Amino acid sequence: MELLGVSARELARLVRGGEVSAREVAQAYLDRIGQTEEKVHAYLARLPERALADADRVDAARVRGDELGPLAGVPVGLKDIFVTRGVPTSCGSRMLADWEPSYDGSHVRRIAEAGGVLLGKLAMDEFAMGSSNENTPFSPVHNPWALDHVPGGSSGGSAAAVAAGSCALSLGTDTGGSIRQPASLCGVVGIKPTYGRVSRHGMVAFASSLDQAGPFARDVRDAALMLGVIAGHDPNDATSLRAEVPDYVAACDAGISGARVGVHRAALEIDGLDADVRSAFERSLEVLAEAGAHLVDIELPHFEYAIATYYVLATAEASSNLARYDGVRYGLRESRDSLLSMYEATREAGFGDEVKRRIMLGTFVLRADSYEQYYGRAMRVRTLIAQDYTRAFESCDLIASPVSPVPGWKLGERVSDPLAMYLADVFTIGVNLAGLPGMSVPGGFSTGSPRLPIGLQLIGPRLSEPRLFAAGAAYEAATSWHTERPPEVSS
Amino acid sequence: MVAPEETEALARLARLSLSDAERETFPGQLARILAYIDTLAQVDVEGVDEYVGEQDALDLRDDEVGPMLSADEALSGVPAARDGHVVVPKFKED
Repeated sequence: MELLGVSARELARLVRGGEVSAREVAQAYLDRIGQTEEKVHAYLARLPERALADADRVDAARVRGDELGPLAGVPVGLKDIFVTRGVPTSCGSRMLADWEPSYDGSHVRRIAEAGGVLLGKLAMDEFAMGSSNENTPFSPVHNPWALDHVPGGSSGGSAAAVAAGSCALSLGTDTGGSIRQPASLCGVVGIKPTYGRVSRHGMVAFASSLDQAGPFARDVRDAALMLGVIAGHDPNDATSLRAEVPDYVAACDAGISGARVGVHRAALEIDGLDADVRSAFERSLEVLAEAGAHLVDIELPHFEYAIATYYVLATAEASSNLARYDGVRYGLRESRDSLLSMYEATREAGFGDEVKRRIMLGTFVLRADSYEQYYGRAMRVRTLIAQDYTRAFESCDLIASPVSPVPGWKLGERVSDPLAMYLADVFTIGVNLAGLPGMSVPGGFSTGSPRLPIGLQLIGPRLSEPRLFAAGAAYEAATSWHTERPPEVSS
Repeated sequence: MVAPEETEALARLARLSLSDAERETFPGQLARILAYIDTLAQVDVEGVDEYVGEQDALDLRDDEVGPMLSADEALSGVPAARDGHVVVPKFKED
């Protein structure tokens, strides 16, 4: 049976019905990893024994007559930011390269309870800081659509693995766009849920008021399936929401007839918006209108300040969250005669350049004498940004926008200018600041060579994931971008 | 331009020791980023409160002892541990 082209929902159905064993599914994906990894480098750790053990457990449960979960036998990859008991969780850094957690985080537990099978830990920008998966002491990830191009970041491995078919579903995290942007660059579906929708317990913290975990999948319904598994209140995360988790897969059938889709036209005039990205977006708006949506113009007056706001707040939070990596309790220790030398030597050896830069920026903006000028001010601009979206949603039900101003660029092309890299987040970052859900769906391709994916972003009010799934599914039904597969890694 | 001494002072605060290469490149990079961040000065924030998010209430659990990691489990990932303690360089004179 050809298992690799089948959706995750269908795989789970086949396993639950006994038509295929979980072991057979796992083996097919392990073989696929073997075929693709030399080119893509999506995995930091491949876990064949663990995968087969997980699969055998699902098969045994079926034989016993136990009820199998929604991910029964579905092979999953996890960004290496998710804490896995007994399995190194490096967070893409030398600092934690050998750190073996003594517990499973909420995501691992929920996926296991749902019957999911863990294939491995996926590559990422170090400590989730980056937009190209090049901020890494390990191998960078290669975009399956063009192997000398970036997959995006920081969840580059999670996006690339789904695009290459070396896992059926994956999880990533998004603090300023790190799910949506790599989803766009790799031609897959990615969703960052409402802040608090998914627990952050067992997810190494970068910026605690912005981080959210979310799924990557090849189609909208598969993403909905995974979100349903990981969403929900967690007593171990005081910021997780008590709101009920609706049936996201069912929500995909609602259609968008009559939905008002807001478009922020001013944003399309930014410097550096690629012509193909712009025309793909305009075509996507036509598709949405043909599916029954009404397009309305909206304003986001503080849109141009979102990146600056983010790089004050996220770096401040990161400098605080990463203070714990000092050689004492976690991972790397550079032994020295004094505590201070040990801290400094450990952090020098353990952190890459981008991490150090952001820690230093965060340290700067939090200094007592400049608090009001930077952190205090950015916290006020954040309120204004959140209010912009609230006001916009008075006249529309969801907002459509591009995801990345450009398709995936060449490896090495942007590494020397950190600020240029930051500006690539212009369409995604405000969504994190406002705590809103945002989804990227495959929305077209560039016209040149190589042919590179271009995503469409859909943004909604808090807890409007059902609406986003309905819109994403309606868009998918009217297009075929999501059915294409990267030629460079075809079997 | 962020002065080299300023970069050094920030590194100290952040418990980072910079390499020579970093001492070369960081001041300029940080200066560019800070100049970009300074655009926030253009925003009128008069009367605007700091962002508090959408949390309804502080959601704390009851103060009850429950299942938790044993000391051995908690120490299993620590670089150096002995007799149920984390080992660190000596920092107190006897």
